Amino acid sequence: MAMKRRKLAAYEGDPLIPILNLVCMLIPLLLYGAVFVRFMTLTVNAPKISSAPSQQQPEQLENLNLTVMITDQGFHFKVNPKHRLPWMAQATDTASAGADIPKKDDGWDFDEFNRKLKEIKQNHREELNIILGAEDDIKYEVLIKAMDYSRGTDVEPLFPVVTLTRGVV
Amino acid sequence: MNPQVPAVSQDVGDKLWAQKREARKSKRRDRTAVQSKLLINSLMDAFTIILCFLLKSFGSDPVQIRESDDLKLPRSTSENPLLDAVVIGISTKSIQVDDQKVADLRNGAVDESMKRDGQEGLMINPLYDALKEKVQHLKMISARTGTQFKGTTLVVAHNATSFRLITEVLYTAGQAEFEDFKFVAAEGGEGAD
Repeated sequence: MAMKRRKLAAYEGDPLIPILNLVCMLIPLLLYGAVFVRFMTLTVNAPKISSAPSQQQPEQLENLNLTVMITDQGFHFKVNPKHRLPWMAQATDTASAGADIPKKDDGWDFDEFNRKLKEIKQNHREELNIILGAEDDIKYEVLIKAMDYSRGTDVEPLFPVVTLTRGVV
Repeated sequence: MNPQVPAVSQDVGDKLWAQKREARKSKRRDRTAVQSKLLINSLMDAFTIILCFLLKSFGSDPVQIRESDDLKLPRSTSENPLLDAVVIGISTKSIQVDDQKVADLRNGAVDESMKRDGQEGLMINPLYDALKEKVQHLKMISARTGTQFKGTTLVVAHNATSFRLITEVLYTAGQAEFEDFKFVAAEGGEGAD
């Protein structure tokens, strides 16, 4: 009799236990599906792929046409010769020219890359486009980092419209 | 001097002592009962908070992306959120379209037998077929709903993927009528100051 009373008392005392059981099962299930890292997107224009040199429109001849190539040596800048800055390599092809921003021991010098982009931007306030290219074996994370630096910040935007180009020109 | 305690008063004392002991016992019992109830309540509170937090984190993005050893995304400072689009995944082992494997990778590259123009070619045949199928499906939906086909695709690539493979994938997607490309990166990169 006493045991029956005790059992009854225990049953009356814990109505939350079935809910607790349910919650205990839901938590691992939700933990498995939960995403704790936020993912962002970076818009990129389709790569320009052509084996032959493209015919430039008259307005393009006046444009800055900023192109940055990422190679194993560093960053190579190319612009319309009319807008070329003294520190840019004079050679027309990347292969023969040395890097405008050579690689450092610990990798690509993104701080210097940022400074050079700001310098170019000072003379071309309206320009938003940049063309990025890389050697075949350059890693995707380097490209993303270069895109981040090219975009600048909300306060000081640099060249947010990124177009990829195939290979090194 | 040894005071004589009457037998009646000793009985009363024993009874009182027994009653006191019983009262103490029942008090202890009650206290234990209250304590256990409180414990379950606070546990329920904690679980409810955890549950709400997990429910919020679960499925809030239109696309579910899960990082693994084969798919570690690069970090970026971009603040553009994810959007619903066809997902091209590039891990260390394979290329997938909406979680369906379409091509295997060997040493981070597609085998030349899967390319239209051999080793130097850019078009990846199985990826093109899968994307073309998606495009037809999306165009059919657009026609029925009266919306415009946008051709947006999300590229979810491992951080060590080569630029060559990225170009091949973008070229193939472009041939399959995709024209709006978005690279997906995890939040928290270092950017310009």
